[in-house]
Amino acid sequence: MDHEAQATSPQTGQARNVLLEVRGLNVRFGGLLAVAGLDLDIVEGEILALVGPNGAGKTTVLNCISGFVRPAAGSIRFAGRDLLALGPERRAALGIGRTFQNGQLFASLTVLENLLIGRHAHLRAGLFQGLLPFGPAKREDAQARQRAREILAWLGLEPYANRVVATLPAGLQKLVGVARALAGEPRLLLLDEPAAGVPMREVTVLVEHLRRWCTDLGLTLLLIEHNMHVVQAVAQRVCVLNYGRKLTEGEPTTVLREPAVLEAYLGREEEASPLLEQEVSDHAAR
Amino acid sequence: MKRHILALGNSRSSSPASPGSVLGAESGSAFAAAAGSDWRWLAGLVLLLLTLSGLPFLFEALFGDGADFQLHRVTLILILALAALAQNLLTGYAAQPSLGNAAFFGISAYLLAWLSSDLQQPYWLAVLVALVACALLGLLVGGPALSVSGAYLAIATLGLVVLTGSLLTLWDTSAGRQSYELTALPEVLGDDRSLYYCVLAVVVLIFVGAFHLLRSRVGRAWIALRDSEVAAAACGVALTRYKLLAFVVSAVLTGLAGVLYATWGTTATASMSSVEQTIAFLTMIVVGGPGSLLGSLLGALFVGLVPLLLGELPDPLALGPLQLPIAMLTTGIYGVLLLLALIFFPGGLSAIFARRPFVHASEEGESYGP
Repeated sequence: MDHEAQATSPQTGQARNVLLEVRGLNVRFGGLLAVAGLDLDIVEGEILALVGPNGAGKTTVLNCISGFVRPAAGSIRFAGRDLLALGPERRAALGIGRTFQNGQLFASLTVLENLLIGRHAHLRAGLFQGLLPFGPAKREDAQARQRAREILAWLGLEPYANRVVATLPAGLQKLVGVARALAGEPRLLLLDEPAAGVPMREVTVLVEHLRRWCTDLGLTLLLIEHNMHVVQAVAQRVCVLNYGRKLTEGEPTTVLREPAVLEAYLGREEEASPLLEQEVSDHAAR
Repeated sequence: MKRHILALGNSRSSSPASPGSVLGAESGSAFAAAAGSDWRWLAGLVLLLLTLSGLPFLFEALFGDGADFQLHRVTLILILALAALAQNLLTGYAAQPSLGNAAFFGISAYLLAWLSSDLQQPYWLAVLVALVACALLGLLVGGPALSVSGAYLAIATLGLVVLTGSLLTLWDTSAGRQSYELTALPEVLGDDRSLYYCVLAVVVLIFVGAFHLLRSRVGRAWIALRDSEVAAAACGVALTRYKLLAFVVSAVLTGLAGVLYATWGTTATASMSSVEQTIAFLTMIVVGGPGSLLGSLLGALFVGLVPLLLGELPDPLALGPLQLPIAMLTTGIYGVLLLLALIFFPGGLSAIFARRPFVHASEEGESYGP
């Protein structure tokens, strides 16, 4: 298969290792098969986009990887470890970070405090150390705050460090969500629609960001994205889902032109949103 | 590059360092750079501490011979503040709507009475045993209780209170007593003034500890699971573990309030584990301010004052043909306060002081349209 070839192809002269390996993933919600027999490999350092019409099961796949949905069958391995036996918090500690479609920020806390929680798995202080106004807990926290400030500076969020998240505009909140995930220093970052709600003129900035995270931080990205411009600009590979099944997978330029993909998006039925329709046809026109 | 990213937010704000926070209402942020409001809080705190330490002398000047009696009443408010803090950590911060704290309130008091009066163990050992028992019981009960959430947790834990209350009553009845008298108190706690200072020291110590705890990894994890459980888990917070920790810490603190309450009144009564007591705890944090240390103090002050003020009335109070027992009136007033606070002051009394964004309204920056 295409992706397996890429997984082992010595692009940089050395074998690239598969960071996340999904095999035969089945998710059932009542009578509905939300994900059906999905195989997916994510190679260390790559940007993979998961696309597909609404309800195709993209977010469900993300939820399976981060541990919020229990698959009926299949296996997920991360860096050689079986994930399915582990809860979400253990997976986060292993190095899987994520953002949420609807933010899910800690709205009553400041931006910096959000990032500190993002680093939770890296810190050790327990109840009794936390009670003290001095000692290892405070030292550890000071370091974490330092690191969080670096991440904020890197994302240009530093002026907002002490702002309560709820008072920030939506676009900034989106970025805070990413910053929080980055604060955990993940190896694999799962992004659920990073460009949704971001105005068109800012999308190019976002695209630059996404690339930079990968190259500068050695991150592996799995993103769900409806905006085909973003997908085309950042993703090295695209996996198209439809009705929980993998339709096709490969390079963005070729995959997004495939008739089956266009049909899944444009559809003969009403499942494709007008926005997508516009974007896919825009893309096809070029 | 940086300008672009900022533009991504499309924020109109030019003063990004506005002090805001919410880890507690009592300070700016734990990390606020803007110290403008911080020193005011600090000044207020120092003033409060000075007033509280000087209170016995102030009362002596004000009430003369009645000073010790008045001081005794203030001590009760301090003890209630501990119970309020316990409920607030669990419900206001870690967002677990548990109503079970009154069970630990009664159990620790009875254990203290039993160990120190009947078994004639040293008072301090009895206190220690009572607190450890609360921790163990909290661990034992918290596990299964926290496997359900929301209203189910509230109902299950309320069941625990009713059960405990009945068992304590049964113990009293079978031992042929009205309530459990504490006969062997250490001398230092027998005197009103030294009891006041002891309780004050404990309360200050615990509130300072809580202040730091809430700004530590553990406190942040509690607040995280209040704001978004899924995001907390995605950040590596072990939800069950931290909920249980909050439950146990709350149980031990309530236990401490229980032994102090029994010491204060030199008696333990089964009504300490009752639905009425639960309502009093709940009223304290809702009226005072959920998720606020200052709110715990204010709530205790408010709830502590109601029976004190009503105590001035004849019991039962005659309202035309009605004979109202004062205890019933008290609980009724708590109920009304609860309702009013929930409807008109969702942030509680502390929100009036702190002006924190309890309701997440955004003044600046529009959210993007479709």
